Amino acid sequence: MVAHSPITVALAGNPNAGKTSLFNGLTGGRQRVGNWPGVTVERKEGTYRYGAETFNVVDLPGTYSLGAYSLDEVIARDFLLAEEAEVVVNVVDASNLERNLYLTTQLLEIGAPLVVALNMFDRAQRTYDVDPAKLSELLGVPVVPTVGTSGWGLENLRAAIAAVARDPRRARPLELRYGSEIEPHLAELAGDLANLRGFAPALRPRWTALKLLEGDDNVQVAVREIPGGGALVEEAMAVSDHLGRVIGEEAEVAVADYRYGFIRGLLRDVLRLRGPSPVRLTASDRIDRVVTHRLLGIPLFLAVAYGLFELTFTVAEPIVGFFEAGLQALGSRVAAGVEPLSPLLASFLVDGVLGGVGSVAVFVPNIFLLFLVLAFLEDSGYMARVAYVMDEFMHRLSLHGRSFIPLILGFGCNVPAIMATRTLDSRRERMITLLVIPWMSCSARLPIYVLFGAAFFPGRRGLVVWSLYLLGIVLAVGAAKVFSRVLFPGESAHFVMELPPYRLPTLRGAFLHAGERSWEFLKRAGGIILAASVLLWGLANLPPGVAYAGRDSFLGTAGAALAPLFAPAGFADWRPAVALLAGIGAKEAVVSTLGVLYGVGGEGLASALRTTFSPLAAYAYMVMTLLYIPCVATIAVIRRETGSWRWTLFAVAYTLIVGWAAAVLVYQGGRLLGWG
Amino acid sequence: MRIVKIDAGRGLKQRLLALGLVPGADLYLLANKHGPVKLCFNSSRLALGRGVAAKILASRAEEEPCPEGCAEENCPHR
Repeated sequence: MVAHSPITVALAGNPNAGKTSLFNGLTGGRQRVGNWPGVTVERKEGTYRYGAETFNVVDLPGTYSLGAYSLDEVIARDFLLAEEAEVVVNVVDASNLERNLYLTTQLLEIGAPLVVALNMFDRAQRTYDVDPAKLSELLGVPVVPTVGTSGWGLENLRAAIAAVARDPRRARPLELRYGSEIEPHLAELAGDLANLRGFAPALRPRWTALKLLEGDDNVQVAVREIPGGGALVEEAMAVSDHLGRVIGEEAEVAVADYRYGFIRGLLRDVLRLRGPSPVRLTASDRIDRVVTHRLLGIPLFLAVAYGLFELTFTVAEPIVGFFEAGLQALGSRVAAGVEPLSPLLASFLVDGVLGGVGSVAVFVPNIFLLFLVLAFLEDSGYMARVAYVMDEFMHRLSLHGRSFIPLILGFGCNVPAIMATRTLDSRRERMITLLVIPWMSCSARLPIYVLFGAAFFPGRRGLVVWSLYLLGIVLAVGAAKVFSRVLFPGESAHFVMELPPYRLPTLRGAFLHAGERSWEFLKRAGGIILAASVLLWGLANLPPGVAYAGRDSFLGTAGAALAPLFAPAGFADWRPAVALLAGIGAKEAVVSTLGVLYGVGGEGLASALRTTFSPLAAYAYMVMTLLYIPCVATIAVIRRETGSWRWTLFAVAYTLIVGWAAAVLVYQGGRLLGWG
Repeated sequence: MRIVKIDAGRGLKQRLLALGLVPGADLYLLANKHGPVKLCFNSSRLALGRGVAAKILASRAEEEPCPEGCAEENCPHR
């Protein structure tokens, strides 16, 4: 048999056209997630075999057009222009053809070897009689009806893809015409572009000319870079203005009009209404009347968020416990075997390596469950409503409605919360949200509050804990405001969103999504967390012979050196400083390290702490633990999601500075008020 | 209501056009009191931030048409 290199197939389509379910259906579980080069937009690829050939499917970001409005559109466009795909499958929502075919016209214009998948065909057939053969004839490309969620039609789709891959002439897209006013200018401009020396044929003269008339920024920049291109851009702008005066509307509006005119013409031949009424979405509208209700919407969402939270963290708890017990059992076996030979090696294996593995593993059930539920909410269409309901409120915080979900998740665990910022489509919103999430007080910080609250504020423990959560929220909101003005000035992203009809999500899709996320976390963040845990172990146990995190260990020495810095915050002892250092590994380690250093646990620890802290200093210490440096796992995902060490360092630095300043402020302010 | 003109910057205008919000298109306002504006339009439901909605100039007709795909019950004022 001859070995073939895989055939590249790109999936393009509107958001909510069912691209993901079609992708899952085509590729099964065989997929991997990466990033598009240079950006943090997710790139999903998967493979399948058909006949003797292997097909590599690339899932392009969901877009409504191939303009330059968003990063998603530019990515999809560049990929298509680079002709990396031998076949492009345009996934179209058959029940909303008019809007979905707008992207199709643009794909035809870019000259993509197209196969149209008429997805959600079953849904469309309820209202219309859709004629795929006619559509295929009119568009000049193969058209295959599919139902992504059930897998119906996928075999035909695979066959059509293989046929176009073998013989691209099967997809002979027609050329859209733009009428007697625009067409001559378009032809002239395309001719000039083609004659330009240095014009890459991949840019396609006619397409580029059209984009110049539409005033596309990115294409203007690309053409200006070609010698002599600048003049053509100016010319195109003049023509565009001229057309605007002649036609009476701007060139880009006229172009869109022609596209819609063409589409409506097609649909007259392709669609036949079945019943008397074209009404869709009535059930959705009824649900929306409750879900997006002015008064009910927000409470309902808070209830859903609470449920999400409870489900994730309570269901995960026994699983995490099971992992921990397993690791502990393994640890004591290793210890029993190795300790006689070398206690230091045993400690390294048990506390360093297994401890590190444990701190990675405990996140996995949380991440899996969280993304499982999130996928359900997203696929059902509810997330779009959340963004709608929360937008007004979040707008006041200079954020988007969608940012609310990741922020809430932060109360459970910052790690999946930061991963969930991927659902935000604007980089600005995403960066701001991601940078303030560490101040959402995660569940690992709660034991610290509980310990100190019981030791210093008996009877008012609830109030103290509540005040810390509130402080985190207030500071996060403040930071979001500052960042949006200083770091990311400019208008916040336009809120333009489709509210897709509600649909029942598939279990398979949700499980695939959750599995993917968990695996990704292990792969990308696991290594860093493990390495940091081993490093912390080394600092706490070296030089050889010292007690764990004792005064003479590297960690103890560092703590003692840092301790004077905390004098203004009321705690100059070396032990709390060491605990803070250990807390960078994992926040819950603050409590256990204090236990080790004071040589007592439980009730004894509380009274031991009272020898070092005044109540005011204890509160300042809690403020510090709330705000200072995120844990290594969080740092690792910030690095991963921003793709930049600079932003990661920034997050570490600003949380540390603000945390220290807030602790000092609390202590000094409290003393001024006479609480010291 | 019928769209008369879209007075937005290039990027946003392209996005609105891609969604089918072209001059001459009929739409129906489902919610317009506070928060994002919700429209029933071209068989789909769209949410637009108030800043975005302010850039779309639409005229109210005497007889409000109920656009295709909008349920009758959504167009009570017809």
